[in-house]
Amino acid sequence: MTKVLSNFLPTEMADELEEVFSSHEFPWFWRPSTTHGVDEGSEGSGDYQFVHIVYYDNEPQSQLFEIVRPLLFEFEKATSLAIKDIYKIKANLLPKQLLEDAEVEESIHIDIDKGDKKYISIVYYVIDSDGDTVIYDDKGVVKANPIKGDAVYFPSYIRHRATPPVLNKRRIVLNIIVELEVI
Amino acid sequence: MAMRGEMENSQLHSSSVAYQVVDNFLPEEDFKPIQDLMMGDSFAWHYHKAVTYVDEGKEDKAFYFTHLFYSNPNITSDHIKTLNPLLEKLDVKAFIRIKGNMYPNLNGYSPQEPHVDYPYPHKGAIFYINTNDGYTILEDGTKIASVANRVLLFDPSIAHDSTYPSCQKVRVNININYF
Repeated sequence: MTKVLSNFLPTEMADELEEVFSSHEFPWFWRPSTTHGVDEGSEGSGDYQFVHIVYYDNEPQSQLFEIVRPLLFEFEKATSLAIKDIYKIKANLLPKQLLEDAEVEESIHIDIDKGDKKYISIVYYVIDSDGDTVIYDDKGVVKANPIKGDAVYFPSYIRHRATPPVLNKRRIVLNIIVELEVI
Repeated sequence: MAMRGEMENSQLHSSSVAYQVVDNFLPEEDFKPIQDLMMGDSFAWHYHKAVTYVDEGKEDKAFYFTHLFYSNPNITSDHIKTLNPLLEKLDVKAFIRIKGNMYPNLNGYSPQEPHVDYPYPHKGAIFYINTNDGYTILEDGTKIASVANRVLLFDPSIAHDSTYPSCQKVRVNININYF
């Protein structure tokens, strides 16, 4: 169900994504919670992140869509899966932070629950960092390390969470949800 | 440091460093839109490394986010319009820079980095957007707590420092340099 793809992008593509999303010019938007809305407020020490919506609501929300799009073609080549439609592409910057146990528990979520298995979530690691993606797969817990150029993908209805980095200052990923062609 | 309009809850301090703190600087109806904007989900922040000095080496453990509203002579953000009530209340002849800062909680870590904003005498205002346990430290060691809708008026050509929050997720303020 859950699979890790190692180093599946051409080097120049992975480098470009790192350069763009790591740039000081890149605009990030604050979310006081990784899984809740903006009304959460600023109290508490953890479970917040910065995001940049690239694609949502059936259209690009950012000029960066054209930079990210080739990643999907490479994903199809590497997996032999056929993408029918894009549901969402979002960049996440998770700063170094320690979460309380309760906050870890609260951060477990599913991306989309459409009642079927045609949606998958792809987490692409833009930079080297720490802070695993923890996926509670039907066959057990899978932990994917944030290594630049790698990705992990799994059905979008599966519970999972991101772990904030504790060694590195930030963890930057692309969170991509796509609908697959039904074969 | 003169300001337009009445000053309530203000204190003029003149120890070794002259500064002024004014609480409830803006009426709530003017403050709320600024707070909502900068604490909201449609406001762009840019990542910056903050280099700190550990012994003789450099260590870049820290970082923060900024939003540049104005950098002389250019307006660099359309959101500057929202700041009008704040900017009109300061006695400004010319702006040098208007910058939003967001300091994230680094699990209690807070680099010490005294600095001057510009090396020539000018005016400075730090306007605090959210209440948190980070603060501004003036050259004489005076700590100014971060209280929402508070303004600190001082000369930023004199060394000062900022700290990161430890009990809140972020510390947000606006740093205004002007003549």
